[in-house]
Amino acid sequence: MIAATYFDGRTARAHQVTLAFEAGDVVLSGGDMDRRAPVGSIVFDEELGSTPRIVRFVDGAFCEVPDHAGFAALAESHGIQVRAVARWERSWGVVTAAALFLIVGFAIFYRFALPAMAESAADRLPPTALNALSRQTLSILDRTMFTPTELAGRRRAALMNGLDALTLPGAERPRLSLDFRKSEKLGANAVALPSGTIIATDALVELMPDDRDVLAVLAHEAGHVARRHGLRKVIQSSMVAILITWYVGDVSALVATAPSVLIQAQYSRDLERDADAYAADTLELNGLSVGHLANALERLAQAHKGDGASTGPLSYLSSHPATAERLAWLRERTK
Amino acid sequence: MQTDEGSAKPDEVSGTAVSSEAPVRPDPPHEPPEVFPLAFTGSGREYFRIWIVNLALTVLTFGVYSAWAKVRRLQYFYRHTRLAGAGFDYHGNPVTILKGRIVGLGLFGLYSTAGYFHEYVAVAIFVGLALVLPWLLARSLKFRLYNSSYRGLRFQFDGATSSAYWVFLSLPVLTVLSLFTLGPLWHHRLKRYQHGQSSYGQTRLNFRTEVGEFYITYVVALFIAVGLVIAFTVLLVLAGVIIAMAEGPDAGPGLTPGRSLVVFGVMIVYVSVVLGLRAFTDARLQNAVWNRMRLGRHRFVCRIQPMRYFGIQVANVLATMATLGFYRPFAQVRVAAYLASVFSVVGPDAFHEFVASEQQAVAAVGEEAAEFFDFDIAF
Repeated sequence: MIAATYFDGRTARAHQVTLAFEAGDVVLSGGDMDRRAPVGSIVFDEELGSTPRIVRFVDGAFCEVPDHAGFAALAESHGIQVRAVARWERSWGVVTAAALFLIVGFAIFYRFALPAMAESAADRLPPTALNALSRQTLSILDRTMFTPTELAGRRRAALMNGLDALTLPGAERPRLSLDFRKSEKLGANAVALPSGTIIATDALVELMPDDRDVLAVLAHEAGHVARRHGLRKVIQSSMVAILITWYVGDVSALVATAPSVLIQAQYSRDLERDADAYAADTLELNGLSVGHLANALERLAQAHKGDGASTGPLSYLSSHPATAERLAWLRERTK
Repeated sequence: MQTDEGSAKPDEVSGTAVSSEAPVRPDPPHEPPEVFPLAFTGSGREYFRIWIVNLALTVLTFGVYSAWAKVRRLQYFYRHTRLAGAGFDYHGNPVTILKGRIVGLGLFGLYSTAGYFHEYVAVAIFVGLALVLPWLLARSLKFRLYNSSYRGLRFQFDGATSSAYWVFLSLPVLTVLSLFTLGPLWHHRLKRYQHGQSSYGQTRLNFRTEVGEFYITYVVALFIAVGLVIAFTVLLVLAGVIIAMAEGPDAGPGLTPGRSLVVFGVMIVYVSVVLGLRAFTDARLQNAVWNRMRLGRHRFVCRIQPMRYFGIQVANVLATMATLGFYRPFAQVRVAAYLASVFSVVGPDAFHEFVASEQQAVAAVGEEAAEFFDFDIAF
């Protein structure tokens, strides 16, 4: 016998009763209540934390039983079992296993599945979407970082023609176009937009008297375009941002600041090496020395020495592989 | 004051809520009302275990278990919400919910891929979704209330579909056209639609909050926002000047520690202003809505303190991020416990007068689809 609160399902009135099992029946008694029903017709709701156990009759009436231990003893003696899920929720072992499974699963998802999904999504995006994204990015950059170029028209034309004349590896030639901007903030740099527009800064061109060095950098950026690195990174970051927003709830404000981080964030080690390989292939295809890329890298490293960007507390955002490492790799390749 | 309200309309009450079985007793004329505080008896430790098993099973079954997980989650929160010696309960059928989720996923897929189709197709998809969503939201309210019960009596939502189009489609458009001056009116109509058409058993909730409360709340929030933005801008400019002076005139571009601190400060301020204003309007409006609400001869007391509520939310967001998400179940329990602790029902008795009404089962399509579009209008 165990104390229970009975509701008939038609009125809100509570009846304090006792519940017992008698000869294959569930029996309620107490107060003005006297109800009996075969155990087979009763639904015993699965245990759920310390919430009251619920015993349901076919007509919508039910009992709340607060005493879990008492109910379990009574019920188990009549062959009513706790179902698996409720047993797992009670076991700290299962709970720990579930937590480990989720952590490992998420790590695997983040390291392998997410990049793969981003890559496949990037390959499927139509050119209209790429152009829209690129136009938007460029207009933000134009407002925040860029001023019109001050380079001589002849130098610009020579570089544009040089890029057009390059034979690129791979069966399909990515659509490339070259543009120039002056930027105090970026210094000597080049940015590849997913649409195939490559922006070279005035400082980059001025840093390299030899056009072939500049072309090596442009070929590296063409690699980012051809392999859709920028797009993959944006898609991947948006997926993470969406997940975090959905999960944490009200931090949309925080996530809204992400795009500006993205524009300045750099490619991962793997992607950077991928673009280097593409540039090296391009140079070789066109009968140029891979040394031009090495030259360009050295000059860039020299120019950026002492930048605040690599010493600030947020420098972990930048994952540019050390130039020395990339140079070593290029030299290895030229042998 | 509540006794006046309660006894002023005895006809209305007896007309709707006298059971055929309960003996008809004449009300004592000045029986003092009883206060029934709401309480949440669950704990974060306990819910954590349910949550993580749910999550692991959902991942292992590629999302199929999520429907069962949802039922267990809601049952956990409902059954632990206790009022006058009884708990609430949730009766959603996992299979129905799963079907609804599949439809919702399809609609959401259509919505998120619309941009890739030809422009006309995309426009057609958006218009189609805009026309379907109000209907879905009305179904969502029906499903949620039909599957909620207290003391064995189900809740019910009878809002007309035509009103749903007014509240979820026409009013939002008008709000934008009016440059958001109609925003508070829209919110008021939304709440009135949601609560005013709801019943417990056969007894209809009586929504009596005036639209003025909504305007006052939003105007005050606007003033607070403007004040905070001005104050923080002044502080930031000062910080910028101090950092610039400390770094000297030769400092180059890039992020120095001082500058990162300012960037970080801006983010924190931005997030807390947004969260704080949300907490303020939510708290004030929930209080305004529930303190005026009537259910038969019962009324409600809701005293959410905006600062307290804001503090809980900030702590929850920070703790959830710091623990890579593992604090989330504790956060949910904390919010549920707080909201329950400030809510009570005042009435002549422990709900003896309420009786059930005949209802038909409701499909889950609306609720699950609405969830995909992140509409949360329940409280």
